[in-house]
Amino acid sequence: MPIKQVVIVGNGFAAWMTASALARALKETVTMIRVLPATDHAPDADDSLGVTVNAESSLPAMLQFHRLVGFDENELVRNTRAGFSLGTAISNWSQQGVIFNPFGEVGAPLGPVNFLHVMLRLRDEGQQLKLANFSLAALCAQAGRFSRPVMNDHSILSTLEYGLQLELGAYTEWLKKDAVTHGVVQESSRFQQAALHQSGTVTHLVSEDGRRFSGDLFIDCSGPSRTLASQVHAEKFASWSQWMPCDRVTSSITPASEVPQSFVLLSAKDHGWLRTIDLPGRRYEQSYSSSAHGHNMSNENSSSGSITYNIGAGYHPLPWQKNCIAMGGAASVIDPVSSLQLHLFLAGVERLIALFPNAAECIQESVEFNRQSSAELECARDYAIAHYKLNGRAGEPFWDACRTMPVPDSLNHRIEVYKSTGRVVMHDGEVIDRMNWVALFDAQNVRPVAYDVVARGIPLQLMNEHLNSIRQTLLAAVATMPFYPAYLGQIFSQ
Amino acid sequence: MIQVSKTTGPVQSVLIVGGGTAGWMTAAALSHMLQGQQISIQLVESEEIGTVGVGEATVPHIRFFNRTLGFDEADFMRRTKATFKLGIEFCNWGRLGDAYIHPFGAFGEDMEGVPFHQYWVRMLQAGVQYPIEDYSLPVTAARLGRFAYPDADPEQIKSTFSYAYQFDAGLYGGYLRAYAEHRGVKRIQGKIVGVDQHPESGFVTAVTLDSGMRVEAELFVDCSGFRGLLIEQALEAGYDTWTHWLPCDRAVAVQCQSIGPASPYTRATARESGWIWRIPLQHRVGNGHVYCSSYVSDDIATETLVKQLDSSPLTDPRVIRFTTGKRRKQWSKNVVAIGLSAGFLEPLESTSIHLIQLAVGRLLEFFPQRDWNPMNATEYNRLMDLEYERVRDFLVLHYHATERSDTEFWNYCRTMAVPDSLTQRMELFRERGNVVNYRDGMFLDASWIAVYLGQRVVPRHYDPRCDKFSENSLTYKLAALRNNCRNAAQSMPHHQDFITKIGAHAH
Repeated sequence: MPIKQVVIVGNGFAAWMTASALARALKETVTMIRVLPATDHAPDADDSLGVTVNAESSLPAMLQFHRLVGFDENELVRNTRAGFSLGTAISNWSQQGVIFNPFGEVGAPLGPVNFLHVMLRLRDEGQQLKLANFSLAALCAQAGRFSRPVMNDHSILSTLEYGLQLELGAYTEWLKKDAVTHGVVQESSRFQQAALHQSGTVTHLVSEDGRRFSGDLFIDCSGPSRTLASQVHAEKFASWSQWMPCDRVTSSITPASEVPQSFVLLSAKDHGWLRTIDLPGRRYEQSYSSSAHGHNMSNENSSSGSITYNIGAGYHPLPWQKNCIAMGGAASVIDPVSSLQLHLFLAGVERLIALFPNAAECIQESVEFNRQSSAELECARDYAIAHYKLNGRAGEPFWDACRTMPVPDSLNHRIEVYKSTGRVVMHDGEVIDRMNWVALFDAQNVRPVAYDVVARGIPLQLMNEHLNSIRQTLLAAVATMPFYPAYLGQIFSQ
Repeated sequence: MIQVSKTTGPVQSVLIVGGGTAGWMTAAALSHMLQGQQISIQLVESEEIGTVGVGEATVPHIRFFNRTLGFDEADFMRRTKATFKLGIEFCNWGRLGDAYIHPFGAFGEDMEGVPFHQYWVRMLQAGVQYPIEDYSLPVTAARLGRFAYPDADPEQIKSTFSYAYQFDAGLYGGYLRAYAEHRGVKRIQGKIVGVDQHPESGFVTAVTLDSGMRVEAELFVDCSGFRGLLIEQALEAGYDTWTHWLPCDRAVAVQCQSIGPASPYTRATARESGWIWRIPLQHRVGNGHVYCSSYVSDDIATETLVKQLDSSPLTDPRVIRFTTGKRRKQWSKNVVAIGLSAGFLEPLESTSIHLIQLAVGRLLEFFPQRDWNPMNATEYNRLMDLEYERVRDFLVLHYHATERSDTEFWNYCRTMAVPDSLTQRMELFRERGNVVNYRDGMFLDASWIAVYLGQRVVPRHYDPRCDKFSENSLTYKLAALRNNCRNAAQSMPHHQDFITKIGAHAH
């Protein structure tokens, strides 16, 4: 029996994104998608991705996701007043000042030597080279310019990669409308209980007013409370709190008149760190801190209306069991220092579409879904932890504790291999690019002691010319692009 | 700011032990990539010790190797008497009488983000019975004996394949040797009779030859073949045996004359207790029978091989013994094993030369510094282990995905326990046609699909997104694809003519 009816539990972004994406991608098979609210949460306290945030940023992979399900990006940006993102600025984690961690390619190989090793050799010769100076995205961000990549393989402008910065509430409203247009039914009565067959599969859900909602597949998008999955899955939560020390976030929104930044800013502070996402006219700030270090960051930089939420980082190793799937924050809660919580959720939706079962048994699909999810989570986890572990803020108790904490073997291996050889370990489930690891290492002052042996045989002059030519090409290209506010304004006025 | 740390610099001397395909590929690549640096590269080989050289068929990655070294394709083909290769034909694997080609290229084209074979499954269930290979240009061309270079324009159907070569590995070794010696590699003739190791670290410091000559080096590359002169005999790196999954342990090889034009593909025919390869070169055909000695004697295996040759043998059949598996540490202390000393996987998918190429590339990537940081070896070994294990799983699939029950050997293979990773892969494909993919590992989705479908592992369900198209429109699309493949293949020149046309014909 093919899967015809899907019931989703949740009220936030995750529920409506899942509903809309499935309704669009599987319209020939799935005949009914219902969304049952899980709680009475106000829409501005959306924890469906794991950590309660007011705004999020995506990786460039979101654009493929939008294409896959058929979203019109301009319409989305216009209607939700979204912005574009070119990467992450990492401020004061080890290095004084800002290191930019850009999206997209960085530099270009010189013959058989990849760009990183050209750079490592020149650094070994004493040059102070910044990776960002050879990234189109970083130079765009610096110049305050933006336009989408052109569709011409011969132009350097075709290599630009970008993500989106979004206000989650507005995005959710947009998705809700879209989902309803595509036949998704929004139920008003809240989910109360799941009814199970003796085999362990869910047969139907019962709502607070006693109605029954039967289905073939049930999806929990209710965030860390796991309203549905906790009734179905016996499995334990594996905490990451020993590696991701921040257990509180305080969010605020302030009006901003200045030109918005086309990147996310991660600023390390004495007792935690601050994440800033700029959208046109508004600045979203999320202040992360650790209750173990007793300092309440919400007193700093706070404006009226800031609210503090708890964070419980960790994951459930088997998000899909029988015919019940936990998605987003119901499956894992990752520290937003990684800027990956939105990405991991979207990757999950994409994976569900690619593995959408043709029959309700779906054992093979769930095994593969869980395998891929775990592989991805492990890589994302390492990336998040590396932000804390490698910090250089000696003398501050919070940061000293982070620097001396034991970390997973897989992360130790990545760090040691990079330090010893300049090679970036990449696993099957890797969610970010090689150069993102390098930028993070740069930001944390982690420098390899060796570089590609082949790079030694290339004359220095040739290398310098190569770097110069890349830089000139990029700068010339950036100069032809519109300013970011003008580009946004053009989309908004369409 | 921390101090800019000056590196200690790479090791300055390399000794390659053994001069077969592995030794000379290593020497050629190192001499090219390290040119202009003061790193001495020497190779010691003995004319007394023959090379195994069974790997005559390759995979497309070899073109990257040749291109990096700057080889002229026509010149290289003339000198190694090479032919082009579009894939491997597997006969009698799923069932007696079955035949499919595993091509260097994908089947059909993806539609709406859904892989083509999913649509193929849907239409199969609807009664459209054309084999998947009718949607592959390289298979269609191979069956017609045609060849041409792939088109660079991805819009063209003629861009949908890649190619490799079938060549005389002995001649390729000679070709590489001339190249390497020209670039300063010093060849030392002699047999190694002694290995000196540092009393504390156990690092190899020098080898002594039968002439009494002593050769020192900082890095040793062990290309000495099965016995692993340095990696095993001196360093005892250990060996993981995989014969419970890949039970064949011997091969008998023989060459015969070509009759008729050379086909642009290799053939692997399953037999009672193993399989027979057929590799057509310009001047001869290489043949061999890989078998399991627990089920068949050397004499019968040889007879089976000789009986089915195209023409009378040119050489005496030669039996080679091997143990399928992998060196536990391919890089141990200051010795890196490359080629048969690193592990052995039967040449069913022509992986031997590719694994050498990969090892050389990785050695350059993790080329040791003089301080011998252990992370170089650790990461090198992790990556190589992954490659070997993934090739192994792919080979095991060929034996395990069978309905044959005509001999004890096939009963064993059909019912043996296989690695868990492979069981999961096969079950997922059988259920719904999804291929588990990975980052490090040479065989991509298209290869797995070719072998699954070629050996009757057919998905029970297809991707529900296939229902976006009506049956009529899919019938039309699939027919158009088949026609395109056929027309494109027929417009390609005959393989032999193409070799002549590009000046690659050996006289």
